[in-house]
This record gives sequence, structure tokens and C-alpha cells, in this order.
Amino acid sequence: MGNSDLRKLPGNRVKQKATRVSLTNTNKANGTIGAIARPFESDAAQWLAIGWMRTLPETTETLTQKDDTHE
Amino acid sequence: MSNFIGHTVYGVAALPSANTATAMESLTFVQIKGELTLPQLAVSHSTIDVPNLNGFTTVEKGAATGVATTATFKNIAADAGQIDITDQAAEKGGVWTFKLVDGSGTDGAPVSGDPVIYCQGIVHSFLPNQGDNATIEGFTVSFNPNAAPIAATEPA
Repeated sequence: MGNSDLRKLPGNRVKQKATRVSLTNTNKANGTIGAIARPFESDAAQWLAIGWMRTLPETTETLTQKDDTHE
Repeated sequence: MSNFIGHTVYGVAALPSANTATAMESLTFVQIKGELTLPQLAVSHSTIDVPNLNGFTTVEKGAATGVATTATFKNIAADAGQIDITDQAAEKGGVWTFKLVDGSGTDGAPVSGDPVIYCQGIVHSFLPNQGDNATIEGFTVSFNPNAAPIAATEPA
């Protein structure tokens, strides 16, 4: 019986690692605006309820590199 | 016998969503370098007298309050943690969460399983050391816990 077969047996499931989410503070009462917290996804609701919000994904800007070479 | 040598101080100008280890460890702590005296993180309780005509007044345990304490540091130029805590001591509100670490990693850095203590409250009353010919440059900040300290271990 291979490892993949063992995992299929009842009680032998591979435990999923709890994921964390990135939250940003928007309420001064919680501390500095913009502070970052990384709670577990399962705990996110209680953070969101008191003024934290999900951190927006960083925007990727394509910066045009200035060409310093002289012609 | 153990002592406090090598303990490190971390802090963040934010409060956790709950006074639990799980919520505390979600915050993004920054090390405050140059620690000389650690804050005493504790609560004290008031007492309520219960008179009795039998001639013996008993005492019940009353409400808890955070024990006012201080932390002292020597100046470390441009240290992010020191900047954070001194800014927050001057800031209105002054919310603050401490994390004290008995770290076993490099320079006292916490590694998984190390004992840590968290405590949330307010930081205030920044006081620079008085200058003389026998004192290093540094400062004191005051801290009042607003919840019971949480003893935990550094998560994996």
C-alpha cells in the first residue's frame, strides 16, 4: 500500500495548514492607521468587525527606467 | 536559576482583536532595541470589605486593574522600535501591545516554542534621562496594561 493510499484511509487525512490573511487597521482606536495584522482566516471576522480591513493587493507598476546613457 | 539577561522587547502601536495568544501573535511586532529595564506586566485586584455582625469583616476579591509600570531604554539611533514607542507615547490614545521574549535564537530572537508574554494597554509619559556625567542617554516610557498579560509560546 503506497503513501497516497494510506492518506485515503479514514483518520489518516493530511492536516491542512491554517492560512493567514493580511489585514490593515482603519480604526484609530485599534492603534496606528495602516498597521498590519495577519490573523488566521478563521479569526478574520472578529478583526473585520472592529475596523480592520483586508489588505489590498499591491499594485504592480511598470516603471520606465531612465536611460542615463549619453548618445 | 534563571534571570532576565537576553530577554528582548517587541512592541506594536496596535491592539489585538481579543486578549488571546492567537490574536496577539497576529500583530506585526517590531523589536525595541536598547532595553535596560523590562516592564512589569501584571494586574492587581481591589478588595471589597464584607462586614459582619459577628465581629469579623471578611474580604472578597474585587476588580482587576493593570499595574502601572515603566520600561527604560538606552538610545539606539534610528531604531524603528524606539521611534515607534516614543511616537506612540506622545500620540493621543497611545495604544500599545508589548511582547517580551525569552528568545533562544540569534541575539535573543524568538524561535518556535520560546516563552513569550503579551500585554496590551497604553504607553505614555516619555521621559528622557536627566543628563549628568554618570548617565547614558536614554529614556523611560510608562505603560498601563488594559488587560491581563498573556503567557504563550512563540508559534511555529
